[in-house]
Amino acid sequence: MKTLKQRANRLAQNGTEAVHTLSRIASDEDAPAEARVSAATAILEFMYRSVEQDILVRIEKLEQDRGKR
Amino acid sequence: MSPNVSFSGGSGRKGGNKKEQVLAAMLIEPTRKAAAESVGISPRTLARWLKEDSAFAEAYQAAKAELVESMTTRLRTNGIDAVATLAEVAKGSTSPNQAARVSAARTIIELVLKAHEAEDLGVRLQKLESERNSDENS
Repeated sequence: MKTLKQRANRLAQNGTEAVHTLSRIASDEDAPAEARVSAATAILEFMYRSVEQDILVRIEKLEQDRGKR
Repeated sequence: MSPNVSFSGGSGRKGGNKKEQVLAAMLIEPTRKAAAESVGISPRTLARWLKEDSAFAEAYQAAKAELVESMTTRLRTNGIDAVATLAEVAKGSTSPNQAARVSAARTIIELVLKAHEAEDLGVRLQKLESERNSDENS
């Protein structure tokens, strides 16, 4: 049975390959327009999701600080 | 895109030059591990710098924010054209690649709105954080 760490490593590796694939498609001028738009959309959405994640972390920190007072 | 990253702790401090290099690498490499390896340091060293060097961690956050800001500016610049594209297609235009144009225009508009929300939340959070900091200092 695979350990949790092995599974996590495999996921991270797949994620890295996925980002490479999206970047390659988004910048391939010979790829169909629909595919390029979809790839660029996925990359941008991922980027803005990480901004939202940062905001959530700051909110949690504020809530924790408030809880301590 | 070649990110322009500066780090005030980048010179005269232990590992300073590498820190500046890895900051730039983290903005273009898909993982932190890849960023660390691209400048010849171990992922463990990078993790330690992010955890223990608050100036380095803050410089990373600032570089990320700058990257997002420049992308948002570019999206906003194209927002008006995106609305015009949707309007043109809605009126019955039959240009080539119509589905892809609609999809691209819709994405631009959605992301501009999402960026606006995130900026608004960021400003409100900053206000709350400032109030908390002044409460702590009083």
